[in-house]
Amino acid sequence: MTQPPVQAVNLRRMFGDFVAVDNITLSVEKGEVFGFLGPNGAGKTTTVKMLCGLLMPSSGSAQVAGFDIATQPDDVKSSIGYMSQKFSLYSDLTVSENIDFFGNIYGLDNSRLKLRKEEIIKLTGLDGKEHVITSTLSVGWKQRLALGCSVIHEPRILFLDEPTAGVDPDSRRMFWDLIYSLAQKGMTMFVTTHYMDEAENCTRLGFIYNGKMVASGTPLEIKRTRMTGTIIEIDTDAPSDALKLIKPMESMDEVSFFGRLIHAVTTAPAGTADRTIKNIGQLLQQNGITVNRINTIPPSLEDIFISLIKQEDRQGGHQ
Amino acid sequence: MKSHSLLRPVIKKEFIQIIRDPISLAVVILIPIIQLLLFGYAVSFDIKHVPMGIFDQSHTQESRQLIRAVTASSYFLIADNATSRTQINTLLEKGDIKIGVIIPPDFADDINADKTAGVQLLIDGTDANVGGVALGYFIAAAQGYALDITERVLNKQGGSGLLKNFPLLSQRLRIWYNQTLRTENFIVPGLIATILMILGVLMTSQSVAREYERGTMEQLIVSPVKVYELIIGKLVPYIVIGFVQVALVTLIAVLVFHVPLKGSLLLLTFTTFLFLVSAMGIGFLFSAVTKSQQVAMQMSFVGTMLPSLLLSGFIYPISSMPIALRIFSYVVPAKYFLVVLRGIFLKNSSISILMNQILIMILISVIVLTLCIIKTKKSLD
Repeated sequence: MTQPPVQAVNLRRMFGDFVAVDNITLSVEKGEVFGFLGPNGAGKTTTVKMLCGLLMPSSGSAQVAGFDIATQPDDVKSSIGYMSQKFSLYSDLTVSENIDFFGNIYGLDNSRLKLRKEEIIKLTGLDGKEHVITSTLSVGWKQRLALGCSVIHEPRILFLDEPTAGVDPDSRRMFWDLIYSLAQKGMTMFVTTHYMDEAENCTRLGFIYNGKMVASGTPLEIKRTRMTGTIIEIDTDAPSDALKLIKPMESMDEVSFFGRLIHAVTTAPAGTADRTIKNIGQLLQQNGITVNRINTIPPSLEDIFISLIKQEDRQGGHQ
Repeated sequence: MKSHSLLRPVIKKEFIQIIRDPISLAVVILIPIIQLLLFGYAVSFDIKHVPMGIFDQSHTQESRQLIRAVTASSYFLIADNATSRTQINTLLEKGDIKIGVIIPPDFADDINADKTAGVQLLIDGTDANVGGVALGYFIAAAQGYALDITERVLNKQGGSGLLKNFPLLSQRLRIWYNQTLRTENFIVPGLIATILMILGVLMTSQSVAREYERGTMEQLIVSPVKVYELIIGKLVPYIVIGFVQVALVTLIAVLVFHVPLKGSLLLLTFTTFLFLVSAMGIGFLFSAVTKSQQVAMQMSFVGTMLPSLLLSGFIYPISSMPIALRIFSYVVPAKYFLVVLRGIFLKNSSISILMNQILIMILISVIVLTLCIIKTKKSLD
């Protein structure tokens, strides 16, 4: 019956000859926390800007909050909230003045502004800080205030562009709690991030690379369907030497560091992982490398995205 | 959601930000006053009391008459009566005198013999302006004296009244608008235009560039605020400050420098508004292009200080500039405001006389504001 809050079909944006966003199709349901992931320069921000009505698509179309982004950008703008990674607040205004300003430019009348202001102060936990100059707040507080300001007009959809970049883990946790509580009230969240651990927080994901949507679905779906091989985690004393030895082995797809550990993805059919583990163990021991631990692990989203990127690069034919 | 209601919050926010930073506000208000006082007193193309040294070898009534004729005006001041040619040279070298006058011993004899009498002038040319003007004054004074002698000679030859019938070229100079030829009258309106141009561009460019640097510009563009509301909302508070500056410097011009304000205050207000819009529009454009406070500041200085000082006709007449610079000077709003200010202050010029300048300032404003809108809309690409 009702249209999903965000729906894009074959969205494409060129900058000269460069294809920044290449035929992206996605849809986000009401109340979802949609994670839009990808490395820097993958086309995340360009996509978000198109969906916010800031950038015209070169081809394709999208509806946001039921409005066409190309023909009704002004309606799109008043129905959405947007929070950038810079937490765009006026640092020389007080908390209260910032809320007032954003309320005013979204056309809230005084009585509604008063009501919303109270709600936002409560939601963000900024009680008692109303008259503090924003520049003196800690990063975590600023981030929550920015979120509060961006939802002052109760938008149907909130776009968050890298909202947690440069924020400490505690504040990030609290921030994600805020995002969930807003989503529970029915607000649709569209979050871009390059923190893979945050991807697990999302109800659905889209993974973009080189302007293309490489994978999409719930985190579980992606883990189940998109991981083609088995991941073997190896803990050794000499990881860099070990990596060089493992890489050329037969049926090895992708071998990379994972902190001090090595993650080796084997393309060998399921059930043969034990044999591969034995082969790796022998190889390392023959070369005098002590193996502390070697076993298969369930893939994390990060593993999957690394493997998707490699697949994509291979298909792209270079780099 | 009426569009005008979105203009108000932008203006209000801008005012709060300005008031929150009282030091910058004070600086912005005081700078034009200080600059006007400093430059108004310091920059003067008049020469007065140029120190003069005289080596009078003639010591006659005639030579003293010449000296009196020259020093009767307040242009020259006898700093030293030298006793030798070398002393004059030394004084010039030390900079104690700017002009040395050497009257030969046979000065009076030559005059009385109805021969051409010579006087040697030594002028310190390091300051070409003072040197040139001093020379001019001296020659004018000396010629006045020469005319006296001519008359006396003619009288002596029995032709009294002959000179009256003599077809001498007589000049009747009338100087309009600035009868006393006071430099202040000429300089102060120019200073006002220049100072306001620089500050206007600087203030707006900093304020807009700050929005870009802090990411708030992005936030504003995502909001339902229209780009024109954003631009007008940003400019209005600075135009108000601009008017305060103009009011203050006008008061100083009239009260301190005694520049006559002959024209209509209404016309002054109207033209000031046009000038502020064009100047601040340029400031907005600079920061929409550079998106950085630092670069915008440099651009404001290079882009306004030099052109306003050098290309506005404030100091150097535009008509004597090379053609390329003359063309560039056409886009400097200060150039037109300068003409308008001099007109309103000194000539009581009417709106019809200043129509060309007014139309050009309107044209510059329209072009600049249109470019601002285009550039701001594109700025997120």
